[in-house]
Amino acid sequence: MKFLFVTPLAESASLVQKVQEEGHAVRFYIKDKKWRDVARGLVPHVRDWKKHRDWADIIVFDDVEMAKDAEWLRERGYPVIGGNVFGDRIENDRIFGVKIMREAGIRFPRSWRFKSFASGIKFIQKNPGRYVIKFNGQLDRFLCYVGKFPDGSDMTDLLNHYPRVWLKKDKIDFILQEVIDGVEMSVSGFFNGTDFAYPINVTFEHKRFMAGGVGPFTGEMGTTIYYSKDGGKLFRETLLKMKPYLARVNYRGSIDLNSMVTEKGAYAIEFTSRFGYPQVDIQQELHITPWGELLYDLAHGKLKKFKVRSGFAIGVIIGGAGMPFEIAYRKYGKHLPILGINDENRTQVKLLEVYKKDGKLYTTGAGYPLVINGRGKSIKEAQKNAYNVVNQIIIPNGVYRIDIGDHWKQDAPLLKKWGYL
Amino acid sequence: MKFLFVTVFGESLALMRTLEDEGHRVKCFVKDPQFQDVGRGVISRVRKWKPYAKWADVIVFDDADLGRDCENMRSRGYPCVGGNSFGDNLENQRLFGQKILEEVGIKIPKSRRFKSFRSAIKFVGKRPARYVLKFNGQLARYLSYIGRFGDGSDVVDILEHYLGIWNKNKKVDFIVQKYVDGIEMGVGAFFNGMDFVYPINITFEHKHFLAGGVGPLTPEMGTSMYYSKDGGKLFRETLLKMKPYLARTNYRGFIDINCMVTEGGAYALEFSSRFGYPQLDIQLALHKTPWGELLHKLALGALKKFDVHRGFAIGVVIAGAGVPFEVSYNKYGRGLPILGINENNKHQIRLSEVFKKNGAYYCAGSGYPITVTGRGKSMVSAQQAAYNTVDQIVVPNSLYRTDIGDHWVHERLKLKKWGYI
Repeated sequence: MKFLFVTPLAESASLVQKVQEEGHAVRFYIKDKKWRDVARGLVPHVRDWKKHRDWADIIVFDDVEMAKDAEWLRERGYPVIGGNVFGDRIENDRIFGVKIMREAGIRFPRSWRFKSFASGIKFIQKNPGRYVIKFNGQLDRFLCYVGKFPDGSDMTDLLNHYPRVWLKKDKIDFILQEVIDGVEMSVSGFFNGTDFAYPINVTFEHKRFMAGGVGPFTGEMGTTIYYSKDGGKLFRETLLKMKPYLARVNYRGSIDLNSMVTEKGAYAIEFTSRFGYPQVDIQQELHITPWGELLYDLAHGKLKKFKVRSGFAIGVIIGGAGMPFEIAYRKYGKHLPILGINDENRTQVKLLEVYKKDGKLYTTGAGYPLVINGRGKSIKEAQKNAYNVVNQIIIPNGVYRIDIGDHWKQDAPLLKKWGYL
Repeated sequence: MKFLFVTVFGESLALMRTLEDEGHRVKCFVKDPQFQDVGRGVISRVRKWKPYAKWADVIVFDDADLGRDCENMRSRGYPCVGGNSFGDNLENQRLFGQKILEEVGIKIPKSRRFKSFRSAIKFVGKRPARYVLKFNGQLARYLSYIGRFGDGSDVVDILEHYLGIWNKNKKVDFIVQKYVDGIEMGVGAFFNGMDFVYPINITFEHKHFLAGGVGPLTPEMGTSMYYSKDGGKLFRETLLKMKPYLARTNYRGFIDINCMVTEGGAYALEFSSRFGYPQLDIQLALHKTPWGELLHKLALGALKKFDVHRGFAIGVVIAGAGVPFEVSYNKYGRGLPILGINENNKHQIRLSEVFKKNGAYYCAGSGYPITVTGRGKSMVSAQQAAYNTVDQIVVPNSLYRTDIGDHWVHERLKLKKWGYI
């Protein structure tokens, strides 16, 4: 079959390679200039995806933001995965997302919106507690902060600090959200236009830069996943309730909702209306049903179930030096050689922001060149298999966390007790 | 007493604060224009130091670039603590340092200097083994590479990469050093002009950016240490042999040699002819003899011994977001507030690159604002004491390693077996 992947940031690069390895023809269109060299030398690139839409059997949109194109195609009978206006909106428009959660009966943390720092400070002084600050719009994720002190004084100190560094051109528009103490966990499924396809994916993200959950937020430093036959309690409490909404808009693709799980139930945080990254890179480790077949059936609305391996998979991101700060990555981490991939370990090495030149692989993109996967009956075994390969790979000054999956030791007993496992 | 600190970067700020706490008066000069915010609002600062030489009872030169100044002042009869030009040369000129090490009979790893990548590639190709690449000059830290493959093929790949990207106008000058597989361990001591002062300081550095020893090299992310009555085998094998040289040049200050310790003996890597950072900050946690007394006697050449606590101390560096790269630290970390210091924990907080404004502390300098120290009878209790306080401190998006001191669990046994503890 023939697959055309349309992407802004080339995030599905490893999935494209996977589909190609299965013997299908692929073409890769990258919209954003800064990412055009991703997967160069690894898969065929095209400059104008519209010219190739009739060539393709299946067109995959791998990110939010190109939904209009996708829907235009779908209306004209093209088999398309991803790209849905409703999906984009529940991911990108926080207020709309929360409104839908409320309607669907999904619990979420309380939050309050502010348009000035002073009013935020006043609010915390009247209602002392731990809050998370999140900015609306396209601002740096490095402005987000999760409050640590029970009286909220660290947050008020920070809010006092922000006006000093705030750029005049940026609008002040943020929410303060109550901190929910629990286990962060998410569920995701493939939705075929009318219903979820089973099994359901359960994911534990590691967004912080350093081992132990220290440091700034990154795109992601690693993930633990497994597949659940029916998604369990978390799926029933959250994502499953979205079924009528997704069916109404003929949603066809992957969708994920992450939550803080507590003794009293799950509190949903945010939607990801697309493949997750590196989630989809790690899913490859567990899938038995070929991806070509899965994507084909999904685009045609026929996917009911698919086959996966039991057990766990973890993925460890190897980042380039300087990430998560692009300004430093461009100077210290980009265009460095990647060494140590061989015939024995290459099935576990997923190439993301990488290009190939003269037979050699180099880092590119925004700083996330590789995911190293490991699979096992237990988390421990999956970790061992992944880190065994991590130790064989060299990117000069490359960075990774040594504790991906360690959370399981504390999380598993709690989740079991609360009925989520 | 009155102490004048002459510094390049203001690195000894925590020592200055300790002296003030002991009831002494301190003035500080910072030479580097980029570090003028360090210590502002925390300590009395002067724009020129020479006019204050007569004011001071003791002048402290806190860095290796200042040996000549220190020597001059000492020769004119001022009581000074700090190195001399011999010490500066030991630290700053690798070849000179190696020559002296060989002369006094201290073991060093085999190394060879190269002025072209091609000749180094040929060299490694003929003698396959693990090697370390070390460059001279500004970019040195990020170009350095510690080989991992036993056949040297990764070093060859890296050299070929450098050959391809090197700016033709830039001089090539680096060494290829035989990799020594062992335990990195430092031994440091005060020298009073004629002899070493006991006890001797033993340190374990954590230079890599991330937990597990992953990522680029930093100036330091944390150190574990203890004092040894006589310095033990490592001291005898290395630093003690420097005694005649230091006596001949009337060295009065702190000096340290960093080594790789193996079953077959210790191999010296490099000198620090000055206080170490954050070594000094952590020494503050172990000393009983007041620092005013210690420095004064040291400057007069009268210090013979001093009192310290038994047991271990560790220091965890809390670094600002963006570290170790200046471009990202200046954008994301600099100027952020440091929260959570209180009456109960402040004796464990060692201020370094900070300034104070309206009663609050902020990140300054190059990104290493504070070191949190902990002391204990065992390494584990020192770790607990330190990390307990680390958890109370908030610097938004800041970075620290969660594993400082963990090395002790497995290294202790080897060091015991080899006779080093």
